[in-house]
Amino acid sequence: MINYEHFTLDNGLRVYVLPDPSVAVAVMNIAYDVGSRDEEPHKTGFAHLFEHLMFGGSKNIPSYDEPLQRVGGENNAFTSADYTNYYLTLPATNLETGFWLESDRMLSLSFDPQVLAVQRKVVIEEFKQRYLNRPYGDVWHKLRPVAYQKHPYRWPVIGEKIAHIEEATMEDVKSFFFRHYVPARAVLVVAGNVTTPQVRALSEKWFGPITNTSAYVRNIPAEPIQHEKRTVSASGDVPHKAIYKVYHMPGRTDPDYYTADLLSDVLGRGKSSRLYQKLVDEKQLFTGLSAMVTGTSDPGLLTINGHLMSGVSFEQAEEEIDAIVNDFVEKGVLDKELEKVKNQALATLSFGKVELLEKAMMLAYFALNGLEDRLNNEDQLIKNIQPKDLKNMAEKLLIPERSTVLYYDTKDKE
Amino acid sequence: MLNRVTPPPFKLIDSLEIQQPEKVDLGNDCPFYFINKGDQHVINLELVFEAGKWQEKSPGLSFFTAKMLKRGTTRYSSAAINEYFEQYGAFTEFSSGNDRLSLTVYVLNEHLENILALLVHLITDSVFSQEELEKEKKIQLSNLQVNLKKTSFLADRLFKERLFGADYPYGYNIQESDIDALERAALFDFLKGNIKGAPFVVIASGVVSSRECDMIQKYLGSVEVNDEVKSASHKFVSDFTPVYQELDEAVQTSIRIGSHMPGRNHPDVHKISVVNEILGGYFGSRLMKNLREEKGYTYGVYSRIVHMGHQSYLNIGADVIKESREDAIAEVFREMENLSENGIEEDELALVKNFMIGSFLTSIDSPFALASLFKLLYFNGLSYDFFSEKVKAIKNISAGDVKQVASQYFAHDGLLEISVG
Repeated sequence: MINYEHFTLDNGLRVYVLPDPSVAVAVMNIAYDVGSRDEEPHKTGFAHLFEHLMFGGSKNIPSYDEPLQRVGGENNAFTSADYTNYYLTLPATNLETGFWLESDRMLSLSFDPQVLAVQRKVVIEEFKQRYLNRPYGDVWHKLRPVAYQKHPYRWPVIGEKIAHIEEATMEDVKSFFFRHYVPARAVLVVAGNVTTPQVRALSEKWFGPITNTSAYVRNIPAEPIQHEKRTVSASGDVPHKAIYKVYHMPGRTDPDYYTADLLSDVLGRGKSSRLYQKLVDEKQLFTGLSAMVTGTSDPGLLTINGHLMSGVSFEQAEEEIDAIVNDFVEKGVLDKELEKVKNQALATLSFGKVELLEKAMMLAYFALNGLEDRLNNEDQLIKNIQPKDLKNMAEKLLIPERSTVLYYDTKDKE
Repeated sequence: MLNRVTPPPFKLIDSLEIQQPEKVDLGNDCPFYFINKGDQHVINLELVFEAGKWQEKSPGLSFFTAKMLKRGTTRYSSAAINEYFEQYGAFTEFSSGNDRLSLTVYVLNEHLENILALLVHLITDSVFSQEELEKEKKIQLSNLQVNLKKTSFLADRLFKERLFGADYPYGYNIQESDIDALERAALFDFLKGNIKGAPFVVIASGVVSSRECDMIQKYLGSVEVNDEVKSASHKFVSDFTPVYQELDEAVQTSIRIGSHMPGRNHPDVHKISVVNEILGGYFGSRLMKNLREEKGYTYGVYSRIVHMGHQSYLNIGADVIKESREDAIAEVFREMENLSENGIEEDELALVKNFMIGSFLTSIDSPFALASLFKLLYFNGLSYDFFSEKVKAIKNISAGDVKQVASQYFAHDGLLEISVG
């Protein structure tokens, strides 16, 4: 049981405190309720580019990093399809520096054109390094726009193409900031060697005076139910054929998420999973094969992916995967298998709560979605799942007409 | 009106308290160290053997031994072993390093006993069957082929090969032909000489109460340990001719620059790490400011000092715009020259000092991190004084020292320079 306290400032900023007197440090984690799903289709990758700009100086402070480093602190951030998360760790005695820095950039950025010019280049290099200059790096650029046709998950967080990043203007930056970076659309978690009265006083002092508001209402088109199987082919400078097969599944905020997650674990988590055991170990048709979930807040994808052993065709690979999937739909799960994936999931949860920063991040994500109870009851939700739940879920999700498959081929024919 | 321009007052860290492990003898002369800390009922258990690349007689022995230890025993098939670990929700990392091989398990305390029983069985009764070896070879060959398509992987390999030579354990890289040539008999010999009956060290962290201690002693203390592992000796040969491997299809170039460096026992080690930090050790470093924040050549650039059991080296790296390759390398040299010739202003030095001490403090807040810290000391024959000396050295280093150390150890000429892409 992790104890935390909570209060909301008059401007709508939700604050959570996770005290841990056994450490000498403090963590501040701010989650803003904006991700790549809030972008416009012709300006993708912007939420992430914007995250880079948050380090380029704020209204009263020319540099974000330096003053933090000077007091012994470190920081970083990430952008997902659903939200943008900023975090810092510093000696607890210097907590106020964190409040000073984070509140000033919530108040306003410096909107320096030079910062935009450089960060555009940095993000383009990030795009190349992570998605273009590595084998299979562009898989999701090929797969997403076919698996999703309406929902903005159809483009990756980094952006659909480099051109969108090149075209970002200062006007875009300003309007994005004032639309999304307001106190009522954020959650602050402070953890570590801190007390609630201390955090309350600091929050009121530094964040209290920020009165920015936004009329933004998220209005994202739901992904229509898929009725036909979709196939997409791609190729690249890769040594082996790869296959990716995806099915739509509930989002992370839906209680059914956990059942679908366990379903994917039975299919393809670890070397004792059905897919690995049968197709990698026994039949040796793949050199690697696994299943996972994208874990997005809105309905996501259950993904099966593997690299084909040379000489194996895409058709054979897919048939073999389908046979295992169909068997699951027909016969469901063994009690022992369910116990196994529950044990794996419960262990993952416990290990995720060892580090202070991870705990703070988890709480921030849940709180942003109004689900803070999940911090302490996720394990119970998992324990409650019964074999019949998995079978029902499999029948509902693993339907051929609701799948999309990507064949990723080598450039030179074998 | 709130003053948002002036930074709030702050305090410097005076001293650090680091929780040290307790030690127990397992009864078979193997030491067992543990850090009992934390409120989640989890445990990280690690068995460390003198069975790294340093001890192997041909490439791949240590690496494949780590893999084969999960591929079948006298009692269990490979599938049954995976099933066993996963049934209890345990995560395993059996990894081969330059100096040692370690078997790491992360497990909930409630399942510890089952996992201990299996671990003992694996290290005493593994069979390394031909059939399983062939399977593992196919998988590793495939993984290697994927990695060989990455410019960063290729650059890292070339860097090590040129720094130490292709006959030295830290220098050679496993090739496809090495995998093909690997024989079961050689692997089994390595298992018999360096794992089975060989002394090992046990390190546990997380909730390690007397219940867990007793259990670990009961199981791991029952392992029969006979002979010492003979220590090997090797000599390296460097070749610092610059390399540029141009790849038409690559959209970025991976650059790696570096040279040999003094080890952890050298009196200048802490000063060197401060200079490295200034150059490229953190987000606000000179190289990051120059190559990323001013020029936008790269997503990230680093400089680090890598310490291994028998050697240490400087390694500066970045993946940069292909057309900016030469300029990026020139800028790295310019930053090194600048530090050697002009040193550092007090203001920047103060920042780096505070940052280093602060980030050290924040890096030791979990039981697992404390265990890593201990391992670093233990396997390098150092005591906890190493860290108090480190903090003292960081606090005391002067701008003059920085300049002197930079010109002595970070001279920009005579460095190894690799580019791929």
